[in-house]
Amino acid sequence: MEEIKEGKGTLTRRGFFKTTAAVAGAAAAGTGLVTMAAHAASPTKGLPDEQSFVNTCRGNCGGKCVLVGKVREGKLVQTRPYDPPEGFERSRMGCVKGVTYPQRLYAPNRVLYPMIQRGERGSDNWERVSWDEAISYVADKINKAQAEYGPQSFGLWHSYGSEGWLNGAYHQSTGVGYHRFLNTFGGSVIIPGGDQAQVYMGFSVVQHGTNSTADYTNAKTLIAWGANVTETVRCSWPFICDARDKGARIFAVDPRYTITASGADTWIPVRSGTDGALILAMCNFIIDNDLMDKEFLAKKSVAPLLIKDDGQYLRMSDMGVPPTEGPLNPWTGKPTIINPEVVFDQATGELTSQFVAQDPALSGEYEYEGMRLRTVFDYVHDKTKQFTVEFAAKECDIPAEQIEDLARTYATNTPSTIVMAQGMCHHVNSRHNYKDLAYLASLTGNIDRKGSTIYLNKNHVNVEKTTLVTREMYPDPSMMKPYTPVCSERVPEILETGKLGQNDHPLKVIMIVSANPFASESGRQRYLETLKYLDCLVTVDCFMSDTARYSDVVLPVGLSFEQEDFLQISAHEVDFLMQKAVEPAGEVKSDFEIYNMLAPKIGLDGLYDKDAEGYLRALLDNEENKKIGRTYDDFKREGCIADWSEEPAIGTENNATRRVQFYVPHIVARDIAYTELPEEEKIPWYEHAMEAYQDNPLREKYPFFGNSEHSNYTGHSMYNNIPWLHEIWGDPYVMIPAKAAAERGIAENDMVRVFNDRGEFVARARLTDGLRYDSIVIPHGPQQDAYPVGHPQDLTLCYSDLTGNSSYNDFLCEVEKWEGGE
Amino acid sequence: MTRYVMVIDTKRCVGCNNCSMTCKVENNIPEGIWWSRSVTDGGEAELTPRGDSPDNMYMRFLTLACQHCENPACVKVCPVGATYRDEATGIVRQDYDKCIGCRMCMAACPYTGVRSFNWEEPKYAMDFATGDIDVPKHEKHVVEKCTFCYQRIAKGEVPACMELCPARARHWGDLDDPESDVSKALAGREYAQLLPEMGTKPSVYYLV
Repeated sequence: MEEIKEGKGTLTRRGFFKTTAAVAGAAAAGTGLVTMAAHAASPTKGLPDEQSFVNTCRGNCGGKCVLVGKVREGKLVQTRPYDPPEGFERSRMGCVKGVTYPQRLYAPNRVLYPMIQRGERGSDNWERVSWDEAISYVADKINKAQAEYGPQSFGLWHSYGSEGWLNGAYHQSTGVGYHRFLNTFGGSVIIPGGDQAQVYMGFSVVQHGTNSTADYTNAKTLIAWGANVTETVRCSWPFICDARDKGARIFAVDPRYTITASGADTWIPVRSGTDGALILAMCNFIIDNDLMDKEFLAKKSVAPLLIKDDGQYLRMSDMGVPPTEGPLNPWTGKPTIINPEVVFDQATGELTSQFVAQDPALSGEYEYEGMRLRTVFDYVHDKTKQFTVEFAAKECDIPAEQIEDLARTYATNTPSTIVMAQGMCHHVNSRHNYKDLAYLASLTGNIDRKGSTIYLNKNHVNVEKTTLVTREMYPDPSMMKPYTPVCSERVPEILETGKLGQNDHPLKVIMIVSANPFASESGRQRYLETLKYLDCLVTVDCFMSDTARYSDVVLPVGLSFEQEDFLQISAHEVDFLMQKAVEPAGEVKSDFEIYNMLAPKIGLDGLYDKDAEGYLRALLDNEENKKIGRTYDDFKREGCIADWSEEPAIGTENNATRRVQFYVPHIVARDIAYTELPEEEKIPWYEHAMEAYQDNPLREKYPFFGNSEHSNYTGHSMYNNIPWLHEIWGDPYVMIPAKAAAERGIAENDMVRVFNDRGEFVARARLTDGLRYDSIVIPHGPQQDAYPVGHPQDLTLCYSDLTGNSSYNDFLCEVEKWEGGE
Repeated sequence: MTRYVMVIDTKRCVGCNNCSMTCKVENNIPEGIWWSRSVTDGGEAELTPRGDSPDNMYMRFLTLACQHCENPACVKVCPVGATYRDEATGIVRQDYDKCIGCRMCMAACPYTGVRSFNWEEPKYAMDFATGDIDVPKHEKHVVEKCTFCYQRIAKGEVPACMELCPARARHWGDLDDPESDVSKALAGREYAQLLPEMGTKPSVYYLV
């Protein structure tokens, strides 16, 4: 390659043509198991003073794109997505934010030293202290609180900010540092509200199967439902385009004409918060017009299972057949109990185990020793037939014909896929949507099949061999103590009353890791006004975030390219070592190091028995990984390892019934303040949103339905304050329907005040014709400095439903031209 | 001969600006200057559609940069030969050393905004250069623009904006080679070029 360079920055024609030919030849490498070498000892092409490293932006979008970082003279000068091999270009990763990572790494608002607040919370009166002083200060507060009020008085609060097997923090999922601490300290574990209606209901309660992204290409009907994938799950867009090229029909169900809607055939401008009404109306239309896939419904869903008057399944043990023991449950360590549900087998005319029946009946009334029995299908249909097309047309404010077209197309132009993100997840009633979707998919056989799913989140097959849930997350059993899970939306009430439900629960010291709740949970004002009941708030963060600024102590933590870790990808299909590319800025530490410093000072000696590399080796160096070349040393050498030859994964039902569950008699609340749940929580259901519903009398004062945006240009509250992004995207803006703006005398770019009884904020107006007349879209991401007045989350509800969901879009508001400032 | 062109599929492009940002970082472009930007073909404001009912909304995106015209208006007016068309590649280049800052090229170019002028000493948020070390240093009082990442294609690479389009909407290659990615992308598809009536013969093709 030397001949191309005559000197820095100049190129010659001669080199131009020579190198073009050379590289073209090398690009023809094969496919299959393709690895990428990008380790510390490997200079980048052509320049011995540049090195490249694999890591990820760790931007809390769920994408976990593999980025290749280029280091020159000790500085990270470029981050660019890893390019998949030829033939797999559609699995390309990356977004506009990841490319700006250098400006994030070297941002002026990074926290570089431990700091203690010496004035009022929020007064920005910080004093730099040593790590010893900061850790001792925090430990002292924790020890005093626990001595006086008991172990629950110390709460560890996480969200989704950091990922990584070592340094991440996600309850029962990832983070060795976090989990060993959590399983030992015996206090309160505060779990986040963002997206939990979907995460909890979809994955923990309904537990439906999911297909991988590439399977979108196989669908003939795709419904982007509250999912603006071109801004939020962009890796799925090429596959959707491929399906479209093959003639698939694309719908976008969204109050806003999004970029995704612009690529769809039909935009259905549903009123936000009414998705459940639309889903159940589709179900009833499909049943009434006999468009069901009865074979699937009877054999692959819970529809034929028999239930007793108490709503519980009739099981073989009820008929005198004792349960048997199955495989160990990894979380409880105890064997699973196999006690099959009973169906009426039309082939034999007898009640029998659902696992042996040939022809389970979908309908009918049965009896066993005086117990009245119904099928799930009859029960659910009976309860939900009230949600008709006419009802939904009024509730969702869309034409009945459009609902019928949507339902007919979904049921008949199959395979059909629901392209879902979290748009239908941000109301208090959202939790029902996931039972509703499972019902809709079961009725039509549009789940667990090629081209049919209701959500994609499938890990790659080989990834699962390196399971993230390992024994390394647990310390020695003698050290383990139970903790109390507390939903974040419940925190203000606990601080105010000292009670969680009926139980005393004093909460006095909170340490926030991997989270920015005062920007990213709904109900910000309630958090801020109840902070006065807290003795000490500690935030571990890379930046002076909206949360950090209201804390008593800020502990600086590193960004991804400053530390080694390991990550697996769900939306893409690769495993990679997160390689350390640059020395940590200032005095920042990794999350793992911070737990290591704090643990011995609060009586948790010996909690960590290995160093960081030791834990990574313990994770990766198992027998299975040795066989497939995925040990720590393999990753150290290769950076990123992927088996690109894999076919798209298709979902399976791994719950105890082995059927798609739209009926959930076993449901328990994630928010433990709920001890009893009404029957509507167990069936597909619709109820209007808590505040944002059409007939709410409050609409006379606050006529707009508020919706929060997840823009291409922010990773929730991350990636704000990046100059490059600001140059493109500008200041935060409120999207207002042009006609509604005109009625209020608001012009493009005017400063407007958005307000309700809970709060207000001021931002620029952006007028659009692509938004329902009764809705606005507020910004999400930019921190409080970006607004002359207030904060968008000041308008939102603080309310914990059974899933502890943050209901960002369940609010009403008004907009007026702002007369202050300028 | 080689004639490098870009083919951009507007049915796939989602206006995400990944290409613009990659260009910005790769070329260490100063504050306030963009060689490539996505613009909305829709409503009055960026990222909004036009239309008066849900059935007739329209929004598409154009990524806009130097069109590397076969018959470039800029070249004809440059009094010093600082802007010129590289006949071997079809790339319209800008020689900072020759540029006298008269901005005649900016006035002549019908594609407003793709050329920019450094009125001041270039400014940066960080005190080191990002991207490719072979990118010529930015200078005060010269005109600059998209180079088709000349420093990269000289090394056998493709322009940076081609490397991470998440929609796979961008194609690059030699239009004179019937087997090239661009020739294949254009085959059988309707395409548009910007301001064809100006007779500039752009090297950027938009699939519609």
